[in-house]
Amino acid sequence: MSIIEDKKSLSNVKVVTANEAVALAVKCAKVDVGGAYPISPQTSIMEYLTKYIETENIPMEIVRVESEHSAMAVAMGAAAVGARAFTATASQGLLYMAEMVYWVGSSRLPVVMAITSRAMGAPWILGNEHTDVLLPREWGWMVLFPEDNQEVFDTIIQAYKLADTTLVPVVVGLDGFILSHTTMPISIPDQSIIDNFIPKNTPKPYALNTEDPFTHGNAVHSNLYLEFRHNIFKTIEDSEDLVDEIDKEWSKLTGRSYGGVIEEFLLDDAEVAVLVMGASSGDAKEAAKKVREKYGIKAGVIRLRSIRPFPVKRLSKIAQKVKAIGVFDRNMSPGLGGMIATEVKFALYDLKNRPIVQSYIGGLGGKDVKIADFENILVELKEMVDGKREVEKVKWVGLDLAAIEKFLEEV
Amino acid sequence: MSIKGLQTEIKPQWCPGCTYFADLQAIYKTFLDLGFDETNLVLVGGIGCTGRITSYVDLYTIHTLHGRPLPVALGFKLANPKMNVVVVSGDGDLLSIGGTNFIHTARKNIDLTVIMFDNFVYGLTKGQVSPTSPHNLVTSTTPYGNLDEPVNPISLALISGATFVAQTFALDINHTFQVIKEAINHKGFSFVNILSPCITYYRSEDVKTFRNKIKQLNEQYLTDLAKAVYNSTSYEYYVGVFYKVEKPSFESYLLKDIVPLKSELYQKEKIKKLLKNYS
Ligand SMILES: Cc1ncc(C[n+]2csc(CCOP(=O)(O)OP(=O)(O)O)c2C)c(N)n1
Ligand code: SF4
Repeated sequence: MSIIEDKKSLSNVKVVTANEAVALAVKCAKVDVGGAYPISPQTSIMEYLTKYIETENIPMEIVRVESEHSAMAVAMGAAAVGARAFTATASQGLLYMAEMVYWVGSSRLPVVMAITSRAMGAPWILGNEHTDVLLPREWGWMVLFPEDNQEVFDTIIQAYKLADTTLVPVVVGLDGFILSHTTMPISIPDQSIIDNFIPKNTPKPYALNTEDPFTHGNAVHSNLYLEFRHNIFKTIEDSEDLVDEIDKEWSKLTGRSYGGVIEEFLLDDAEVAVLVMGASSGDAKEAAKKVREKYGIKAGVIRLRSIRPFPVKRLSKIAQKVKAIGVFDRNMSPGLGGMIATEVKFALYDLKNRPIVQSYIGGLGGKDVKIADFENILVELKEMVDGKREVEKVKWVGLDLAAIEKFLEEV
Repeated sequence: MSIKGLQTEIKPQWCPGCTYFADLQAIYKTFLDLGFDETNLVLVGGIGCTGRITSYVDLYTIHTLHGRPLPVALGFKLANPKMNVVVVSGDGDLLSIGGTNFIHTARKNIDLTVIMFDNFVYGLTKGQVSPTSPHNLVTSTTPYGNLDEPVNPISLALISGATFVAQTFALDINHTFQVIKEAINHKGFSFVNILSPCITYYRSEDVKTFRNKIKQLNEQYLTDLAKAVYNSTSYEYYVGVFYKVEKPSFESYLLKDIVPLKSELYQKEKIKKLLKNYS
């Protein structure tokens, strides 16, 4: 439902960047404590929050810490006593924070973190890329990836529901600059809807409590560690339906549904589909419509909303319908393929009639990816289905190696 | 050589009127005066508006990670103790995320010179509160004023074990030049804090009113640490050399018999070949 149709909440429409949408959602989620250290393109999230706190007298504390490592440590401490905690970072900041991120994941503390995606150095680079957002998927966190500013707001709220229910922390990734610095209208539900959706007074058996003292994080031996890891694995594995349910419940309250773990676009009769995350999905959808019109190719889009839990069940169902999936990764696993492509292959390998899966890598470091690139992918997939084109381990989008030669000549 | 010979083709990307232009002039002047070239100097930058300096000096430079210039510089110095190693970075880089590195590099008294452009905010990320932001300063992350007390960089350097500690004011380029020169000539960990208020985001006063706070330190070159620390806390915006003592430097204990790595001349062709092979 578009915002305009959503008359009930029209009065609460705001035109904001995705970073402000994150901050508004954190405010509406009544977060108690956050840790802040600036890094582009995340910085304005914390600036908005400090502004709300100080001008609207919101009972939230933001600690201006001395590094990202401490930002997550503050969130950890707050969550350990049962407070609602938040932080945000990007790129180098996430790398510096990594030790604490892993620890919070393993401690099962329901922290929510926004990551405004950005490539990582060396060399220093500001452009958008998804590698940073994807790293915590190996660190015991759920990872969700919305497409536009409204969905960013909604996903932060949904993330608290997911974290509180599973006791697994949640990353919400959003495309750096493309969303973080772009304004769009968003509708903000009544506060009572949010309060009921993510109540703060749920039992928190893990919370440190002076009346019944116990400890967190002590040393164990191998007789327990494997079992702890297994349980984290299992909880995340079993959350696929939960992400769908949370999305459905939210849709009943607000009229906005995003398809849960995957948004399916023109997939009912699709023969080929491109799988994408985040803001590029809009371009991919346009491309699917265009190749249908231009060439009569039955094309669709699989928009991956949830990377952890990885939607094995839903993807398997889609894989029964389509003949080829082109996975567009704005990230890479060096020497192997796109990170998501390798996961898609793992997820589908045991199917009897599995589709072709072609890994595409592009858009690294903010390199532009256009609608035409997605059209091209969809056309290539059709050629693969028709046996007119070989499937390759990896195909690169927009790669121009001559640029290095040119650069060397100029220096 | 002239200052022009030390400049790269890249024009400094700082706000018009930024005090860092003055800091850079003082640094050019010093390098020129000391006869630095690519055979005897490595310039290490952190991350921030300050760290950009590595693109503006046409010598061996390295732009490191945020907070990490000191350990990188330490590695350089130990690999080739004959090289002069100068670190230039901001208050956020050196005292926030790099704060522990600052303490632990200073207490080694390794022969490095650390020049800090102290602009009282995180400049590059557009004006958030930094460890040297005065109490009550309004910044983008402290809209109603900074709650924390600032770190005193001079006191911190002193109690961490630096053996040459000084402060200058950006707009007095000549004084900054003299002091940096002494710092580089000093054998051991030397620290120069250049008071360089950010003209864009340090909103409490302009540079001209800030200038009125600057005073000349009376007792300079003290060797009594307690007294120097006392002065550093009593005379906040005083400029001069707070402390200077001679002590064996870290590498002098370690590297007596080590033959330094041969420093090869910087050749564009060689670098191009390297880039070609590894890209
Ligand atoms: C790990 C990490 N966190 C955050 C950043 C973002 N960042 C870049 S520069 C900077 C602060 C710079 O402040 P300062 O050192 O005082 O230098 P100035 O820009 O004021 O000269 C920050 C937080 C980063 N590059 N890396
Ligand atoms: S932000 Fe401040 S420190 Fe950075 S270039 Fe501008 S005036 Fe200079």
